[in-house]
Amino acid sequence: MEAGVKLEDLTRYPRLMVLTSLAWFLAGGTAGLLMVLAHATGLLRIPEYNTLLTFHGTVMTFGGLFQLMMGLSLLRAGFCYGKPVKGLLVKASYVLLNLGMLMIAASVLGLGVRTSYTLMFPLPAVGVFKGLWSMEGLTVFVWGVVLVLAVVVALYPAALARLVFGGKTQEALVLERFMGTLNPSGMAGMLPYVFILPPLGAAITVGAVAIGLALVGIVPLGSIGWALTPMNFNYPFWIFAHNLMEAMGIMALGTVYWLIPRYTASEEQRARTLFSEKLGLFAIVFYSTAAIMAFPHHLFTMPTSQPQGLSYTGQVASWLTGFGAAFSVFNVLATSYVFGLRLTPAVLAAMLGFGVYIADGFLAMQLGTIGWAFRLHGTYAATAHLMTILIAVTLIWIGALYHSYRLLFGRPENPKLAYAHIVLTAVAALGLLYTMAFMGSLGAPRRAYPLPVGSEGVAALLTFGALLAAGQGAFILQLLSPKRRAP
Amino acid sequence: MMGTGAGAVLIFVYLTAPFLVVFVALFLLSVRRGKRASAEGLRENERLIRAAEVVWLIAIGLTWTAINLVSIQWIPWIQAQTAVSTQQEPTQVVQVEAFMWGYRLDAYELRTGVVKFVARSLDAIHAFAVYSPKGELLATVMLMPGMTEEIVLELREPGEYTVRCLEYCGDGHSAMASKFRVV
Ligand code: HEM
Ligand SMILES: [Cu+2]
Ligand SMILES: [Cu+2]
Repeated sequence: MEAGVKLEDLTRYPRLMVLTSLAWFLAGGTAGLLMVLAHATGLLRIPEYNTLLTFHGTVMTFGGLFQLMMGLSLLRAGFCYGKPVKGLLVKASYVLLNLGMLMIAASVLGLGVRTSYTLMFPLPAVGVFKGLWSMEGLTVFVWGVVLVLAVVVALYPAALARLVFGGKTQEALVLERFMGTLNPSGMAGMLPYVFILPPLGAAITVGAVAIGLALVGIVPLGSIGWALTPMNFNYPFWIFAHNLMEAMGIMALGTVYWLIPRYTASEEQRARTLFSEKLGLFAIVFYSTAAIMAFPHHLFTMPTSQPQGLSYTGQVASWLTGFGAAFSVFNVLATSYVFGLRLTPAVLAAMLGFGVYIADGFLAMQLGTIGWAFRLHGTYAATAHLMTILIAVTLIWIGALYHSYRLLFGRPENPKLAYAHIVLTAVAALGLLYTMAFMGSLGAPRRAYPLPVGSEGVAALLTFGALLAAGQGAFILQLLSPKRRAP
Repeated sequence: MMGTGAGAVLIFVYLTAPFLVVFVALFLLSVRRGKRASAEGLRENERLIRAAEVVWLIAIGLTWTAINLVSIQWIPWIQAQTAVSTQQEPTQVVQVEAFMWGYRLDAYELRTGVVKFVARSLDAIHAFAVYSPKGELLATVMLMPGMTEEIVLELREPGEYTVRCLEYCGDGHSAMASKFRVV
């Protein structure tokens, strides 16, 4: 009884976060399917499509994936360090993220703000002047963004740091023992987020708060003019947005590092770690360092305004992250091969997610190549990369979810449904990746409806989108299937 | 040809499809080995694995370096230098203004050869992307309001070129296009 109460301290918020993320995923995924359906049929009007686009992008990334990662990473830190996942930081992270997302959703669906999830600053403001959406809509949107940023940049990393570094270990909560803080390297993968995101996100958060205050008239607009020039806004924006994706990617790599050794067949103690722990740590440090300087790839296509030296640095840094990934590929495969694997849903999802992540990573480096960026930027090839990295990271966390399924939901998962969920998701992810890359090669503009070129890919998008939906259907069946008692 | 969007995606497919096949094969092999595993372990072949590590990292190192070096010639400002130095004719200069949702060019009839485009946006972020008569995307330039971008393109084929926006700019984005002729 005593232990049961305590376990609930570990799982209550993570479970809430996982289930809430599922709700956002379903809403955003429906919007994604509707978008593709509109491309196939011409059913939607342009503003409606752009509304769905903005809803889909914000909801999938923050309401869905970010929240899933938040729940499962806090859970993992909790049961590895034996500390309850609760307290003000955890509660505030959950409440403010979802409140912020509700405000964003309301401003997008109800008040017509449709800037896409990368804002395209100064589009939010220009849209008001052109009458595309209202000042009120923009104000709700910006304050929603401020709340989400507060969680992403401050509250969540603080909550995670508190679990890892603060408080006392309670033995009853230690479900998997970790040595030290950095070892094994699976845990080190969480730290770049904790240390990199708060400083790199600070500028854009301050900017967003200043804009929010100006919109409600507390601060005169003139006084924040410096933050409102497009260059001054977009550099901090991309330093933040790029590194957020990288930090989420590195945390997912750390999750693979953590999960794979847990399912090796060999009983040797050695098998509880990676083939090479040193290489694992090295890869994470190397990858994180390179990633920080890779952000200029988002602005390569400003041949005059972006200093060429910055562009070259961005290209080299982008390719260096590929070395970090190559170390990981070797290490993960060597771990699996040398120690042998037990096939479980957790291992399958982590491995397939990792494979998709790596394949997509090559496209990312191509987009990070100046010469290619001038022919791919702004096309569906860019969407191919962005969406695949998100789906790959989601799939890796789905592995972590199955790893903790019984802990969270009090019963073991049905393996058949789990495999269907994972395989359908992986196949759909690859299908969407190659289809969208192909559309990009035809020069299809992203975020464009109707498609002026490249609509050849739409039927395939619809097919793979349906597969992805079917996969999530299997997961919902899993959750709803009658409670079996844990043996 | 490798420097085009189509070339990039072909290289992407050629490199990642075999990678994925080998990756999944090794995964399945690991599962098979896992079934046979016993406590005495599977740790044979240590040498082979070290060799695989070295070969893999060398292959990656060579591929990465090769792509980075080869791709230098596709960078528009490098291409511009070679194009201008091999052609004698005077450079044509076209001023471009992008706005919600269209383009104003100060010339819609150009001659084949080297053209310098000087482009800027009057309101939101837009792109100035040029598609050849065959539909190939020659280059896209991001136009941030307040900044002026210059790009030099060699337009070899005569015919009708299309200008399109590739940066999302609101409801007119998909229809934001223009054309010019090269004779
Ligand atoms: C049902 C499956 C899905 C379908 C059919 C789908 C479809 C699409 C389409 C058509 C676009 C618009 C491309 C454009 O116009 O630029 C898009 C964009 C996007 N998708 Fe998905 N998607 C799906 C699942 C996902 C998942 C699982 C995620 C993330 C975890 C995701 C994240 C995004 C993001 C962030 C964008 C970019 C939005 C923007 O450019 O503003 N999608 N998706
Ligand atoms: Cu980036
Ligand atoms: Cu546009």
